Amino acid sequence: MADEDYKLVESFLDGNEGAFNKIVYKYQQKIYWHARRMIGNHLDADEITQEVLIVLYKKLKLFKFKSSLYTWIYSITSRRSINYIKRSKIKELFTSESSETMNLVSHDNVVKNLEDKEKLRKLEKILLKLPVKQREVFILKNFEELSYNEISKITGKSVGGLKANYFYAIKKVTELLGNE
Amino acid sequence: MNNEKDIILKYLADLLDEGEKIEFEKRLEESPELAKRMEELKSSLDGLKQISQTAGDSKYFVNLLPRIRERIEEKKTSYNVIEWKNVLAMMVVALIVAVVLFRQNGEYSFINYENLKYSISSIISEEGQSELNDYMEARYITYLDSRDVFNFDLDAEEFVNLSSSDIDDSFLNYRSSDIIENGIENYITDEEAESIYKEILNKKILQE
Repeated sequence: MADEDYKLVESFLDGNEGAFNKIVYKYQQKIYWHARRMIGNHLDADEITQEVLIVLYKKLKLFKFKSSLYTWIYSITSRRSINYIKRSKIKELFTSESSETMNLVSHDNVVKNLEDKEKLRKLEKILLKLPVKQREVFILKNFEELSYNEISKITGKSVGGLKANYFYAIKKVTELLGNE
Repeated sequence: MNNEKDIILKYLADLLDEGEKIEFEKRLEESPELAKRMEELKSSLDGLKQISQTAGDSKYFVNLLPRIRERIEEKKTSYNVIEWKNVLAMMVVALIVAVVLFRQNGEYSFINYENLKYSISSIISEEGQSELNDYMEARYITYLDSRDVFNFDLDAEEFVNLSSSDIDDSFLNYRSSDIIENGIENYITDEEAESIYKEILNKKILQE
């Protein structure tokens, strides 16, 4: 995967715009779903996905392959999502609605199937109950199946700290799922 | 019961140390109840993973690239405008500086950054941060701000540790609007004018 990414980036930097399209096709779903799980609504996840892809277009020339491309992409997506969550918290101070409520009533344009919609709503309700750091590591470990070392590169946190956060996350999640 | 759950979850989170891990795995082999409990917790988490694999609408992802491309093109156009604005702003700065310099009939002097830093160090050690702020306000704050080098909130230690090149570079970054509004000639010293002029020449913004 890293080799293929390297070729795509090299090709894009050589002026092949089609290579960027391939990068988008390869990573757009990962970016969207990571942002969506972090934030819990379609509209903002869509905006973050677009922002991340635009950042990618502009900054790929600075990418030195010191880490893998997907680590870098997850890192940008995570950082943007967390920034969004922080802004939402500030916004929350000035409105009567909680961000959790605002997120859950937002329109959903990406999941059409009613059953899937319900599943997603259930999942998002659980994820939004986790503190952001726990949510981030839970999503990356449980859904993206990344190792602690990979998550450490993405988040810049120590592996020990990530393990502790993951423990508290799964403890809370299993409580919410009724596994006392 | 909850303690047992915690140990299982710590095992799943890889939070047990090597000794605890071996002991737990031994207990797991010996106790079907414990093994069952662990399976329950694991399947809860796996179930959530399955829920998370919701199929997204393919149309959304097909349409994403054209939307990105459109935004990239829009940004490119606006960057071009901004770049031209920057060039114009720099030209205005260069022009003002040139006028200031020629008004002073060639009485230029060279700013000694080490002395400047030394005098600031003295102020910090003798008078403290508030005195430094007053000093900076009086001398620089009105027109140097773009890199926060001379900001009110500047950490005194940070400033003293700046290199001369950092300070030099900051001279070229001040906002042209501030200069135009406040009139740089009212604030600038001969030494500073000389330094700015040299930078302009070095960076080939203006030819001698």
